[in-house]
Amino acid sequence: MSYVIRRVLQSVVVVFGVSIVAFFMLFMTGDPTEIILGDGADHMTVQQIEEFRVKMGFDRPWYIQYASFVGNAVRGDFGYSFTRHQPAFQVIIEKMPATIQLASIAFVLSLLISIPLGVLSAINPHKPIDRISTFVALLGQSIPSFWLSILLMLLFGVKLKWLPISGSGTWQHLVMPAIALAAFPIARNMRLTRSSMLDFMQKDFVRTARAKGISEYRVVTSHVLRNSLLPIVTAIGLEAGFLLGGSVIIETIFGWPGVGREIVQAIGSKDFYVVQAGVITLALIFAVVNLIIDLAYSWIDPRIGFGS
Amino acid sequence: MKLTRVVRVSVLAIGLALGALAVAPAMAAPRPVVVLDKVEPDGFDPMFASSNVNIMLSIHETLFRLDNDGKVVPAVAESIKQLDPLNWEIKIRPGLVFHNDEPINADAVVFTFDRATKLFAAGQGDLNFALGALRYDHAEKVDDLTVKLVMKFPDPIITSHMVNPELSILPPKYYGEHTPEEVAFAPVGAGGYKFVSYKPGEGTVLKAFDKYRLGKPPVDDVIVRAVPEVATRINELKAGTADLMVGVPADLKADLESSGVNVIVAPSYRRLFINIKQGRNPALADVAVRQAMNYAVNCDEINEALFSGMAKCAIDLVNSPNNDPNLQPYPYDPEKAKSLLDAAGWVPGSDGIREKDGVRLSFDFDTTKGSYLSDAEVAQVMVDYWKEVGIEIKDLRTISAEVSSQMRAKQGEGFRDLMNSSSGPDYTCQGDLLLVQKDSGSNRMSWSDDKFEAMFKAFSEEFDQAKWPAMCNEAQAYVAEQAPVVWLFTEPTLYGVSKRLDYQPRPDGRFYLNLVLKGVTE
Repeated sequence: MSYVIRRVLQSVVVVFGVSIVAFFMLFMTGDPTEIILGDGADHMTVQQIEEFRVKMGFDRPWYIQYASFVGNAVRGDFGYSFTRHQPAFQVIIEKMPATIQLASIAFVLSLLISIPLGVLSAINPHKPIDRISTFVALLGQSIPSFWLSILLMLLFGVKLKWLPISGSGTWQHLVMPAIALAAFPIARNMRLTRSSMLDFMQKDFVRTARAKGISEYRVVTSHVLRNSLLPIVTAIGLEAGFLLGGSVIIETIFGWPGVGREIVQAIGSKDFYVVQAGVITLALIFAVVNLIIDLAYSWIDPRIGFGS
Repeated sequence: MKLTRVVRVSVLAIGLALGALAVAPAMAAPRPVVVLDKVEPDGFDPMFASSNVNIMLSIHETLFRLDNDGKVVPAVAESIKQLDPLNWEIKIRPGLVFHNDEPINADAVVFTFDRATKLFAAGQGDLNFALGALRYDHAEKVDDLTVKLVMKFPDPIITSHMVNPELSILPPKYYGEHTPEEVAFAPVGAGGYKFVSYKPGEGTVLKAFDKYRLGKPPVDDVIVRAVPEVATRINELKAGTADLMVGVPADLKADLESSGVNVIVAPSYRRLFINIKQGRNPALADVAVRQAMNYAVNCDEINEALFSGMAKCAIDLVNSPNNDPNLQPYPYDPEKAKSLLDAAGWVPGSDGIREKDGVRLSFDFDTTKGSYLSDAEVAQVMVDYWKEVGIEIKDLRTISAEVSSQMRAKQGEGFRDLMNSSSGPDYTCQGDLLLVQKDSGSNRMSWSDDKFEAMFKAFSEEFDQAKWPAMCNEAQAYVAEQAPVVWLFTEPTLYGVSKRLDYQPRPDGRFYLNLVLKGVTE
């Protein structure tokens, strides 16, 4: 129980740290009043600008503003979006289903491809299937996602015209963004599965299992793969963060209407409350998913106890 | 015989059926025109939304608007008459209706101005810019088609302040019966296109309004989709899944054309120049130095080398059609630059860089990268030109567009001696001159000149429009001579247009759909 409490507290510290960065982001880029008003200030008097500053609370000391920011954020109040004219948190929450949809499909895709490929590579070391898989993994880890996205668009959208290039509305719209988002996790998990499997295949208990006459299929699935899962699960936990963070780029490139694109658009329109709400919400999800993964260790490997 | 007749009839029937099939696609309505925008709309209530001005002015209509040449022309208003310095009488065009068939009349105009006032007073909406420009007190109904607009201050360019989409005329019954939240994505306007639907990622669906004041727009169905990434927009055009985008990068022009997409190069109102930060370096307070910096630069050579001649070198403080066409840019004349510097006491040192009283003629320079066409490259070339005449740029700093915009927001604070900059259109000479007016937020280099201020004051208070061209030309010529900036060029705008679309670009780069879409074929 103390382990669970400790991990929860660690997650709170992470989110707290992100809140500090998100808050000071607004001040590091200049006077928030000037930033928010932008060209609109050209037609305002100095007095009107000052009134706006007071109305927004930017005239208060930074620590008062930060305390107020945290107090409100805990209640889900991140301020009011200047461009959307609705609560910033609501703007993010409305876009969250699209991001979760894309990230989930990329997540499932990465597991469905990476683990079987990793297993195939591991049980056929240095054979053509292993070399091809390793090469594909190398490409997946090396190609920047934005570049892969453009290549996918050119091939499947422009050349073959099989898939829509951007936007949303049909399952076809999901294909290219999901592949682009999943490419890196596929490569990483495939390599991880392969190396972890190869490690365990040298262990004595595997040799014993084979000597007992257990089928190779059962040896691989029940003995080797099950034991190899722990490092993969750790990577999968981190992957949730990667997929949510990576969606900022992928959503922007493919015009996918999720949180990532909303944050980029909010940065462009200086809608800092939306940026803050988006960054903190993503950080919170990342922390919670990692917490769940940590707690799931004991289920995967009963030898790991919370107290240890 | 009977068999032959059956065969004949069958052949005839099949022929007719095939004929019908062949004709059917030709008779079908063209698929919707897909226009690519950069950002998702934040609503279609003109008093609340600021980012999607293009769609806004396709759905809504203002009292006055800008035609495709940038001239302010009456729209919902038929005419305007000044009663005294603060009171204006506006006549509404008879017989106009909104998309929901509510009549456009004085009640609608009064409702619109009242709504804006109330929202602004309550701190709601996005009205800072529009109500900062049009400083009215209130609007009164005179009769069904006449409104009196009472101003707080005399405003000689009142009509240009009525073109802002925030002051689009709204149907009072519909907007009076619904909250802003309810109408945000269910707008009713008087523009050329009726709103049909909107879904993020899928776009805004619009339908031509057959009772529009200028007649039904030539293109029936339009979808405006937000695609933030320029490479994606290019690919949409190449794939034939979109018909129009604004802002094709110049280096992708040939690539796009080779894919069967038309690229229209049109003049824009986007003017590029190098701001000279006043007061930071004493040498730059000397007009001779500023003029020499202008003479030292070969703008035409830059234009040819970097833009294939698509830009237009000019002293473009004031945009067309208010500019003085006789005002010539500084010619490339390094010898003249050198003689001006000599006369000002700046003599070449041992390394060719000029000095005066032991001080080198040396500046630092901020440039953006990617904010304007080839901006960083232009800055690098400028450094070389100035070195030729003995002016040193000791530090050329490349700053990101975001950093630059923050510096601009603070009146150019943080910029160094020189900085590249640009300005969009204001549609009036008075508005364009704000770029160098000492109290204006647009004056990023803090240039201040008493003679110009006197000219500007007189001009901005002059109601007699007949006197405007002369006053405008006088002010332009004076500023050109004083060289508060290094004048460069007007940036071209490149439009990617599908082969099936007939499109007429506007110099402000906007695509008010009812004005720019001229027709479509399948």
